Amino acid sequence: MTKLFIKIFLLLSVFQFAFAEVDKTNADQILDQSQAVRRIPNTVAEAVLKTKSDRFNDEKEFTFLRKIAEDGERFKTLTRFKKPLTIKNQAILFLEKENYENSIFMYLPAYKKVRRVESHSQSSSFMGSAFSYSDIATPLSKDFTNTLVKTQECPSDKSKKCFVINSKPKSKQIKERTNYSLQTSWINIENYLVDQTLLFVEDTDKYVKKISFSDYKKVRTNLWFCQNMIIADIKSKKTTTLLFSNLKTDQELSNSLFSQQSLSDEK
Amino acid sequence: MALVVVQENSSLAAEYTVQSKVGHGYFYKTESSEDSVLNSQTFADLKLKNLYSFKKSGELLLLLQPEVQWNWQSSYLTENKKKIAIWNLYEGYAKYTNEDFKLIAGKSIISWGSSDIINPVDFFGARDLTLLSAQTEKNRKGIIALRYFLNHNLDVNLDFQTEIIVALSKVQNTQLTPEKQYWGAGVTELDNVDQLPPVGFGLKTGLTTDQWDTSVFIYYGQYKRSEMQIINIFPASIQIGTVHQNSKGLGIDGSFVYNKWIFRTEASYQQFALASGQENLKSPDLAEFVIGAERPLGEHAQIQGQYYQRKQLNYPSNNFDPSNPVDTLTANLQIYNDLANGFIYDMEYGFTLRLNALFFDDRLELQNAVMTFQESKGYFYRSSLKWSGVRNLDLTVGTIQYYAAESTPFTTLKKMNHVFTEVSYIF
Repeated sequence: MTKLFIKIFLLLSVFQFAFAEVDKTNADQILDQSQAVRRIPNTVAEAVLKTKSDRFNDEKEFTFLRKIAEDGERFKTLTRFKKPLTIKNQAILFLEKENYENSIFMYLPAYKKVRRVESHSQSSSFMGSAFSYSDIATPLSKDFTNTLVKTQECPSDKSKKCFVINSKPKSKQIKERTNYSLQTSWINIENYLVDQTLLFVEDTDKYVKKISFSDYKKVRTNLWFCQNMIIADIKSKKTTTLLFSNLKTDQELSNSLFSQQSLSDEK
Repeated sequence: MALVVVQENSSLAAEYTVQSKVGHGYFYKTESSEDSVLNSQTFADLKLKNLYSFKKSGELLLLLQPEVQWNWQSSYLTENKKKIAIWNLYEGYAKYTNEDFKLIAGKSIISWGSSDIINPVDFFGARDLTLLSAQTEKNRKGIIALRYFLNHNLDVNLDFQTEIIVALSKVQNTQLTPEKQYWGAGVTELDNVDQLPPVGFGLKTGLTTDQWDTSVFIYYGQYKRSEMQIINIFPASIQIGTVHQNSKGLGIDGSFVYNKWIFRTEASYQQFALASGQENLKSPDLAEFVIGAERPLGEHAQIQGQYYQRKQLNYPSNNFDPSNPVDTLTANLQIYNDLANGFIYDMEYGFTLRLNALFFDDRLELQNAVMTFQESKGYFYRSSLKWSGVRNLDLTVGTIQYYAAESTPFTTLKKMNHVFTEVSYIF
């Protein structure tokens, strides 16, 4: 009975945000709405991480499971790698928490051990790609000081209009964990989906990373999933494409799936 | 709970691994020989898996991983050359998983504890020390057991885990077969293995909490462990043999995070009895403790240090008197007891330091580890460089070096110093 109440509560929370009246001059509300339309309770998908640089091309395939946490805002994510075979069954459990103090556990099949990844390492590369662990986490508007800068054409489609919002980490902790001093996001005015994000570090007015979002799939009324993300890391000259396929959002995912014991469950 | 045998889907997958290692300066042939050996080991693994999924009732995985090891040995001073092939089942089990529990039946690798290098609570698993230059985890041996895992999210911030093991002692094997004597190791098969209990038990239980990212686990194990161990050290050579030990152990480990540091600590207490029936030879109890800290160095490197301490309890060490006539087996067992505990002093302590770094977009991995023995005045050092530039192919070069003071028998271990190369291809 308790589980049923929790499910109903989460569903109502999602739909409350999805259908809320948004003040289009309020950056916090715009970002809340943007997060709400992408806050799918349960997600299972196949994913491919393609990384290119001047020196090499790399491709990794993994299974992606994501479940909304008990707070109704943050996520628990489990990724289990399938290819290349040298990393098969390596798995990462990502438990999002307040102030980006996320818990990250990694399973290494060669050692048959689950190891905790230190939280400050979240700014380091995710599996050799241009994404960092913090890039994969879901940013919440309340972790940042947000300012609506202007409205302009969306970078991916000039016929559409986007809000341009600057977000600065509210605390030193968040800044240290993400390694960014500023994020600038373009958010579609009509459907509140993120079109592009630029990431900046201290003491420079040039962005260090650019993330482009496309190929959104509508899973329910006012709920969308981004199936294509491209991140360009200016410093390392690496570009990574994260492609999702075989998306399923109607699967029930138990909490025991997002545990250390499940992490070491090789397939 | 009934298992609903409605097969939703199943998939058969096969993986093949071929791994080849060449090491020089491995084991020496005879007690007094100075003739070193060039040793090449080639492994081929076949991993077969079949996964069945049942709607709402879980998954059944069948896994079989046989491996064959080809060894080629050549000595510098003589014309002796040997080639042999050894078959082994690395792992083979059936695993059933559902929302509430997991069950594994068969031969599987048991790995306890989260520390590196020194791992006091990892006393249930077995190792084969004839695979010294291999990646550390490759020398683990599977245990034939029934393993039951229970996992509960007690609340949002508390994750509780339990593992219960029932191991079949009598069928465990890490036998030194005649084929494995190619490196000049002696066979030491001890009598009266039937005195050991037929079934062993293990328990691991603990919890992980979000508060300071803390984990605490407790371990208990009572079983017969069979391992390939160093059983004797002569002035010029090292003897490897199969040892069957009846062992009881109790351990605890914990970890927590503070700023950029992850702290890990483990402690265990173990009692041993050999299967020899040598009641007049008391086996020492062993208490072991380690505390370590690990932190990242930038984005591509990591450093870890540990302090460890090991103490023999209830056993007068260093009591072997060559002038006192005792039978050879007893004498060897006394030396063995000291060696099995890694020292001939009541207590050994020291430090470990590990440094890992990644270069060239994480394609080149450098691993360095050093372990010191303060009482024996010695150290162990391992360094390796692994290149993963081509998909599914890993190339490794490395070295293993031992040193101990001339006044201790462990000084002979430096004869095992060697360099190695490994090529691993998985497809």
